[in-house]
Formats: sequence, C-alpha cells, structure tokens
Amino acid sequence: MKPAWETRFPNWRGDLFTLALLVIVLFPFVWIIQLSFRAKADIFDSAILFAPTLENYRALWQGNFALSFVNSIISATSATALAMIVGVPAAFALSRASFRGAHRIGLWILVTRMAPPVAFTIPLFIVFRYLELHDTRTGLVIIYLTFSLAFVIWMMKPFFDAVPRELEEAAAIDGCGTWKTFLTITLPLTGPGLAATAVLCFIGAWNDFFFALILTRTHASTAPVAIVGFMQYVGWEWGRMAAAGTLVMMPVVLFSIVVRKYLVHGLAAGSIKG
Amino acid sequence: MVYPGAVAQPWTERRDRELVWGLVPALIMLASLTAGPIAYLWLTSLTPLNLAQPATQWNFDQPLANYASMFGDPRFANSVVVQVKLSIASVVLQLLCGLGVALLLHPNTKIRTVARSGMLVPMVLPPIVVGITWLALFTVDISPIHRLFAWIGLPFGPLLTNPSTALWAVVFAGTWQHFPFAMLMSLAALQMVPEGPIEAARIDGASRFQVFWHVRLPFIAPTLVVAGLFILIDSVKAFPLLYIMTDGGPGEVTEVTNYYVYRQVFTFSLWGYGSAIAVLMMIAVFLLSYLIDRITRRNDGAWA
Amino acid sequence: MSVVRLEGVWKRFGNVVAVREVDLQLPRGGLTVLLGPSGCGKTTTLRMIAGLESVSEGRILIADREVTHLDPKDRNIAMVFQNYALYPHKSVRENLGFGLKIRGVPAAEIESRVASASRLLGLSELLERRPKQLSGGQMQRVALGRAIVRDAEVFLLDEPLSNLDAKLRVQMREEIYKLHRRISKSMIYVTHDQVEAMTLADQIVIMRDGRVQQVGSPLEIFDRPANVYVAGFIGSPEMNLLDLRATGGTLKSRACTVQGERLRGLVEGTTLKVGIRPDHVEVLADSASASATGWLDVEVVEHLGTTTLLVGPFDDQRLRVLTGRASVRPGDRLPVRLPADRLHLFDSGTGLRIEEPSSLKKRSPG
Ligand SMILES: Nc1ncnc2c1ncn2[C@@H]1O[C@H](COP(=O)(O)OP(=O)(O)OP(=O)(O)O)[C@@H](O)[C@H]1O
Ligand SMILES: [Mg+2]
Repeated sequence: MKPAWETRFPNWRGDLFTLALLVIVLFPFVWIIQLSFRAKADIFDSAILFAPTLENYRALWQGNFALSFVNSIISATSATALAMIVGVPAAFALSRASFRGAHRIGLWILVTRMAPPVAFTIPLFIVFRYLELHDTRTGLVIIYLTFSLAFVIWMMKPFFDAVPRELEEAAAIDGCGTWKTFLTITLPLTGPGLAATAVLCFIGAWNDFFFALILTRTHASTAPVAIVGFMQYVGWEWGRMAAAGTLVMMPVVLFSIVVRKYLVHGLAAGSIKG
Repeated sequence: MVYPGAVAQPWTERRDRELVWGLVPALIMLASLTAGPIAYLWLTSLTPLNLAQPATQWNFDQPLANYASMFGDPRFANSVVVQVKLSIASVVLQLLCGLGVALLLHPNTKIRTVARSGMLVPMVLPPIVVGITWLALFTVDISPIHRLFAWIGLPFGPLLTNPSTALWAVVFAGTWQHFPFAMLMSLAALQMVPEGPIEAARIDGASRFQVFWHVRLPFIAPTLVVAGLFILIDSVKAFPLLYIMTDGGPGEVTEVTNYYVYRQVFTFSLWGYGSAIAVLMMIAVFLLSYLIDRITRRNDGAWA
Repeated sequence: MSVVRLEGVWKRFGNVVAVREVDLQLPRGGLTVLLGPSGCGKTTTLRMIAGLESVSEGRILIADREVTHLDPKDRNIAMVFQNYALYPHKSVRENLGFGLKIRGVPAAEIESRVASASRLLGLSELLERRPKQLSGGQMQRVALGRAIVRDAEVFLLDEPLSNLDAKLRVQMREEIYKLHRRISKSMIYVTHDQVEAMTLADQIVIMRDGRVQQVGSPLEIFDRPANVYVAGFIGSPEMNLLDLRATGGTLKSRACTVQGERLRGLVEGTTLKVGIRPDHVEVLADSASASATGWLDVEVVEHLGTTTLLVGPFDDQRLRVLTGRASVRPGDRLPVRLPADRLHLFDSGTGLRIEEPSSLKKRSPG
C-alpha cells in the first residue's frame, strides 16, 4: 500500500517540480526586491542575510523620483479612463452591429495594436512640437490612447459577444432603447471583463517606456524613464535602481493579484478569442 | 392609422444606426491617432526631413531617395539580420517554454493552480524593470548567477559586452519576460481539448508522449500558430530591454530594425530615412496581422 | 376581431427565404400555436411579430394598428424566450418589474402587479433570488411572469418548454393551459411538438419551408388535413398514405379493393393519395376475410401496452395498423379492411385534399 501522504497528493512529483520551477522563474523578481533593501556596502556582498535598510527609498524620495511617480499615475489613469469611456461602447457596437465594414474596422484595430510604436512616434513627435505638447502629461495621455483605445476595443468585444442576444431583445421588448439596454443589461454582465480590461490597459500605459522616453524630458517624465536616469551616474546606483524598480512594479503586481482570476480569463479571452 | 412613434424604418436598422454612434468617437480618435499619423509618416518618408532644417519638411524632390538608400545601407541590412535572429529565437524559445510550462501546469492540483498565477508575474512587470533586473543579473560583480557558476567551477565573463553572446543574453531575458503569454494561450487551448479522444488513445495503449503528439498537439496547433505570430510581431517592437541592456551594442550586434530607426531619427535626426524604414515595418506588421485575422476567423469566426 | 394579422409577409436573409407570403389572422384571446419541423420559419415569424426581425415584404397589424415598422417596445407585446432570457444580475422581483419600471409605472403599482403575478405563478417565496438560484421550471415561471406583469396585448412564446425535462414539460404544459384560461390573453406559441400543439391550441398554424400549410383548430386539422404533408405530420403513429387508382367506383391497387358509396364519383383511372390513420384500419377475423380490403403481412409488432402497432407490407406498400392488445406474431398474415368513410383523399399531383369526390368529375385526369 502507498503511504497515506502519497494517496493524498497523488501528483506530488509534478507538484514538486512545479514548485521548483516557480521558484526559479520568480527568482529574478525576488532578487531585485531584496537588492533594493541592501545598503550600498552590502550590494556586492554575497551573504544571503543582511541588515535591511530603507536608505535607497529615502534617497529616491529626496530626489525627483516622486514627481515622476505621480506623473506615471496620472497619465496611466487618465489614458485608461479615456480609453474605456470611448472604447467600451465601440466594442459593443462592433459586437452587435450587422452593418458592413465592421470586420474591416476589426482588422484595423488589430493592426493598430500590433504596429511598432516608432511608427506613431515619428509623426506625433513633429505634431506635438507644433502643438506644444512636448513634455506634458496631456501629450502622454494622447499618445497612450494610440494603443489603449485599440486594446480596449479588442479586449472587450469577445466579452460582449458572450452576452446572449436574447437578453437585449427582452430588454428591447421591455422598453429599453439601444444604449439604455447597453447600460442597464449588457454592461453589468461584463463586469469581470471590464475590470480585467481596465487593469490590463492601465498596466500597458504604466509600463510604457518608449513613448515617455522620447516625448518627455523633466516635467512629465514617468517613473520608468526616471529609473534610466540612475544609469547615467558613475558607479551605477544599483540600490536606487532596484528601489525605483520595486516601486514601479509594485502597483502592477498588486493589481494583478487583486484581479488575478479575471486576469487569466481576460488575457486568455483577449488573446484567443480576440 | 398613423401612430406617433411610427417611422418607416425597421427597428433592426434603426438599432444599427444607433450603434454606429457608439463607434463614431472611437473611430474619429483612432483615425486621428493612428491613420492620420501613419499617412503623415508615409509623407515624411518621401522627404529628406531634418528638423533642424525646416525647408526639408515638404521637399518631395526625390520621393524615393530614402527607400533607395536602404538597399545600399549595410547597417540597415545588419539590423534586418539581427531582427530575424532575434525574432526566430524569441518565437521558438517562448513557444517551447510556454507550452512546456503549460503542460506541467495543466492538471488541476492546488499547487499548480497557484503556480499558474505566479508564473504570470514576469509578463506584467514593466519592461524597464525586467531590463534592469537582468542587467544586474548579467553584471559579474553583483550577480548571484555568476557567483553560482564560479562556485561550481564554471566561471564565465560578462555576456552583454561579448559580441557573440550579447544578443542571446537579451533573448534569454525576453523569453523570461514573455513566455507566460504562450503559456496562457497553451493552457486555454489545452483546456478545450475534448477528453474523449484522449481517453480513447489511452485505452488504445498510447504513452503520455504519444497522447500529446497525436491528440493534444493537433488540437492546440492552431492556437500555437496564432501565439507564434503574436510573439513574432512583438519581437519586431523590441526596445526597452535592448535600450537598457546593450544599447544596440556591442558594436551593432543587437541593433534590431526598430532600434536602428530610433537611432536614425532621434540620434542622427534622419527623420525621412527613419520614416521610410518605419513604413516598411508597418507593412510587415500589417501582413502579419492580416494572417492572424485569417487564421482566427477560420478557427472560430471571431476577429482577433 | 383578430388581434394579430399578417398580410403577405415575407422574410429573406440574403438568399435564404425563411418566410414566404404568410397571411394569418389570430383571434383575440385565443392561443395560436405555430407548428412545424425545424427550420420552417416559426421563430422568424414570431420575431417579426415581436419586431425583433424586420419584415422583407408585407404588413403586420396588432389590434388593427399597423406595426410593421414599430419598435418592439411600441407593439404592446410580451415575449417568453426559449432560454428564458432572464436578466442574470437582477433578482426575480426586479426581473418581473423591469418592463414597468422602464415605462415609468409608479413604484407602488409595480409592487402590486409583481405581487399578484407572483401569487398567480407561485413565485412569492422566490422574489429575492437571482435567476441562477432557480430551477428550470421556476425560471420558466419567472419568464411567464414577466409577460403577465406587463399585461401586454399579445404574449409570444418561442418553444418555452423545450429546455425542460420530459416530466416537467408535461406539468408546465398544463400550467400554461390553465394560465391561458385564467388570464385569457392572446398568445402565440411556437413549438415543434405536436402533442403540445394539440393540447394547448385553440388554433394551430402548420408551417413548412416558410409557408403556411393549414390553419384550424386541433381537431379540424386532425380530422381534415388540408394536404398530404399535414396528414403525415399530424397524428402519431403517422397516417398511412397509399397510392390507389379509381376504378369502377372503387379504389384499387394490384390485390386490394376499397369499396364504398363515397367513392362512386371518382373519375375513372385517376391515381390518388389515400390516407388512413392506423387506428382506423380494421383487422378482421379470419371468418370475415371475405369482406377484407386486402392482406397485411405482419413484419413488426410493437406492444404499446393498451394498443399494439402492426407494421408490414400491404400489397407492395407499407401499412401501419393500430389495434387493441393482440397476440399477433411477425410472419402472420391478417385480413384488414380500410373503411371508405375513414379515408382521406388527396390529389396525387398537388397533394391537396379532395373534399368531395364529385368535384373531381369536372376535372380531367392528368
Ligand atoms: N439570422 C438569420 N440569418 C440567416 N438565416 C436565418 C437567420 N435566422 C433564421 N434563418 C433561416 O431561416 C429559416 C427559418 O428559421 P427559423 O429559426 O424561423 O426556424 P424555426 O422554425 O424556428 O426552427 P426551429 O424549430 O429549429 O427553431 C432557417 O432555414 C434558418 O436557417
Ligand atoms: Mg425556432
């Protein structure tokens, strides 16, 4: 007979291997976080145990990093809000419409989502120069919309596709107009999809590096761009970079944990069903 | 009898018209943010634009000069070669890792369900953080990896400054960051494989590998193809890791096309030339998107 | 006065014609069943009446008002969907009251109408639940309740029972029957189940390939099917349809002869489709075999309990005979009689019912 624990965990071999793999995969992530708590003198030390310190974070707080962090929050949140407000009804319309050309719009949205950022950056850089949107949060939000909006539409459409038409027909008979039906019936049923979409959209804008690198300098520079600033010093500030990196990834990781369930669903829906 | 609400137009058509109003703001925004700029990009690609010399902006004397000079530009040719290497390696590695981990995590045990979420972490991390993390991990004097290998007697030098390893070090970091995407898609596809044929194959005495090869793989192959195309497109956009880890170097060994355009435009101010290359990249991405669209529509009727 | 009238209604989906030239009048207060095989256009017809599908050609009137182009909400109809279409995020109470709330009915009135409808349907205990927490039968009731609360002119029901298991289906069928008598609302009920149609309907509309085949009360349709299709569609076991030739005031095939006063007027030499229900075929005692129409070679014997179904060749054709309990075995050869007054005669070309044989006289055969 097998020992009791083996009947309780019949897959222990696979489980153990899974755990080991998870540890390996998450190692860089954990390692960079611990690095941020090491004092300058401890960074080159190989000892696993060390006296944790907040000196790196304190240094960040005293520098310009706080402003960049706020810039990141404001521009990512605004871009997400705008993209959701405009994109969600559009996704619904595309999902429900029987008019011709709906499919071509879908392809266009896919292309937009796939396009290399540099292709938008070149023309928008020139336009922003005329509109004096350089190094402004408004400018950043606008450029984030180039991908957020397409992403929201692309992501939400399958969620709307999954809502049975009969519900909307029942609402139409009950007396709702097209958009009232959308607001009272369809939208509440796609709650998880909305949450997943908003979170992923936020993460997309929050994680942006390329646009912010090119279109901002000091006033509107975002946290990822600020991190790069630490690379310019002689004798790189590893501790500060790690601390800044930890701060930048913290919201993203927290968000992902909170909406973990919908995230997997959302990512899968977004990628497979598209 | 005429009823007040009567309109000579059926509800379904009216509904379509109302729906269009939901689409209009998005279309206007998309047009002005994407179609407009792309058109402008194309115009720019026909000029020798240099922002320091305003006269060059609308100079269409030699509209195809930029496109012509691409052919005689060894650095551009090099960037395409680097791009192809990076793309192929990314697609192959990410698909293999993603599918492998998905097969491991597919059974529903408690630990594996938790691991499914844990494995997603690299994918959501800001690329910049991934960049500095791996930059640090590839830095000899602080990296525990280097220490570990030195300890077991296999020390190796810095990878990122070595021309023969730099690109592969970046590909490695990129695979760590992006494999969860292939994993998610594989997991979702594996979940949709019907149990019937798997059990039938088991009863017929197929080994685990045979079940995978003859039953599961054919079912998930279309998904893997789509995932591969997505990875391919994303690899064309590679930027942050390169910027942080190698800055295109040493020399030009990690300078992919995207990075080359960035250099041409924002370092050397060759806006016209950079635009021309970007136009070609757009065309490539468009073709790949079209392919994805065709495949996904054939599979399940939804546009990707 | 008819509550719903369709005049020359067509529906095309691209190249597919789902409904062709349908003319219908549905009586006020009656329960009309649209009956037909899958894909015959029942749902499409119902959805056009509801306004969910546009009409390609023709007019629809509800309560003598043209509604062809009106919104569903302006037609004063209520609909019960096949999958119920209850709003999953609303409680039963909110589901029932939603239509009234949207129309701006005062809260107090909504409250009382919801209360009375839920009492009628036995839903009072369930008002705070979500649809997910209900059984199939309960969801069905809520769907009905939503229509009742609205107090619409016409109720439209699309296969309302098809998602229930067999037992519950019979029970809900009875409830709908009682409900209809009780509230005496005009109802249009779509089904492909002829038992449902026969038991519920005041009027049955039989459709096939988008065309109306016959309109009538259940017994009218059963007793006087308008054409070969309806004859074969209604009734179980299916009606026998034989090819017989009119010869000298009788109907004949190779080795069988049907005689009867009724058959005198048939035009000599025409071939007819002759229908007879299995339970109208008489099995004779051997002693009476002289008066037999022909002989049945029994191949299949199905004991159904009270009755027995015998199937087998009958003079080159197949015949189904339903008798009482009988100890017949496969291989037996039985004398049977087809009583002339039970026969349904159809033109073998057009498939249409021949009302009086005398009318055939005027037409030339072929
Ligand atoms: N939206 C549509 N587009 C194209 N063809 C359609 C559409 N809706 C229905 N049809 C076609 O119209 C015909 C009638 O369909 P309908 O749904 O009315 O049949 P039905 O009698 O309700 O059948 P069932 O008993 O299977 O529900 C079918 O051939 C169907 O394929
Ligand atoms: Mg139907």
